Amino acid sequence: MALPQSAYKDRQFLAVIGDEDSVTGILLAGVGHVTEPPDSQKNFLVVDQKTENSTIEAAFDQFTKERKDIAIILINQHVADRIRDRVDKYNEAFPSLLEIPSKDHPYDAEKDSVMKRVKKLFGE
Amino acid sequence: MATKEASDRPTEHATLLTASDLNVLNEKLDQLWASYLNFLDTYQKAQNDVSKHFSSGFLSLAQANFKAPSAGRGVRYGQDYFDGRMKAGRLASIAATESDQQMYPSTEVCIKLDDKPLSSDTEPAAATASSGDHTDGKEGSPPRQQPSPPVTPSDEKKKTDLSGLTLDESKEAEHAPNSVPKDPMKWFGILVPPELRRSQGSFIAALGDPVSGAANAARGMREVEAEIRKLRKAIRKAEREVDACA
Repeated sequence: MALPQSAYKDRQFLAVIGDEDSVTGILLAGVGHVTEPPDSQKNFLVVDQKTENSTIEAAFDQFTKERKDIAIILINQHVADRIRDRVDKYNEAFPSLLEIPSKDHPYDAEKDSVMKRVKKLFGE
Repeated sequence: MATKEASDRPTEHATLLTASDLNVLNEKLDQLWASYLNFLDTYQKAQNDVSKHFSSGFLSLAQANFKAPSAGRGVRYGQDYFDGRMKAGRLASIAATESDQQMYPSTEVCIKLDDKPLSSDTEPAAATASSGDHTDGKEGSPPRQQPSPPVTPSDEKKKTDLSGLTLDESKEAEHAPNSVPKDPMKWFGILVPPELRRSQGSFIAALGDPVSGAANAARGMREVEAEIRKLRKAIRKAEREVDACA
């Protein structure tokens, strides 16, 4: 059951996928990080109405699969809804995935992938 | 006849063993459910706290945008001001825990976010460096790399801590000595409205215990969930065996 230390020892950043206000607020708390050039990877993605779902999916995949330095991913619940399938299927211990509210969309436990799993477990 | 009796006895014994096993398994399942419900309770409370802090953060941010000097021109505190070279002033470190293992046997790695105030970030480099007696008056001044012996003891301290994920500034200095984490508030200028600072405070509060608590609880639930499923399967199997023997 024990996780190997290699699974989490380099994980130190928080990543954010959300609307502008959410990302601004979270970055104000000092978690924003851009890696050194030339690749300059950001640990956040600002999503608006024009953002394609494929862009959100790519960022989600990058934070969950490619990057090994992310410890927690915060994603606005309404953004998670746009890639719900991927979010619900995500089943790794690290990075931890957390759905957070946004300014226009309060947190809804019914939509939360964690609470869905709870329901499923109780229903079995 | 005697042989038949002898052959019956082990079957009876096996049945008794299975029945007592079943009780043990059921008790273990109850314990797992208790752990699971504890995690669930923690998760829901943490999510409530996150919502509360975020809500006040959003409100303050909206007020700051309303009062911004450039508000009439459609400029707001947002991504247009982000510094493309930003470095995280708050970092996470993850370590295994012992006390949590006693409470929740399945959880071996725990997440905790440090509530360090960002004020140390506002002093560029000086506060984050280990000996830190120099002052960088200019933002553009070359960052200085210093030997950082206190980093190891602080890491040791974290490992003995109750939980593992910590947002930490000193570790950032060790990780990327060329980068100087600064207070993100500076992206927006010197004279920022107090509402923006209030908003920053709310988001920092949200990223402290609530986010770490929710992340820990979610991961804990995931682990206990797997054990519950496994145990349920074992119990079903044991029940079938008991029924077959009865």
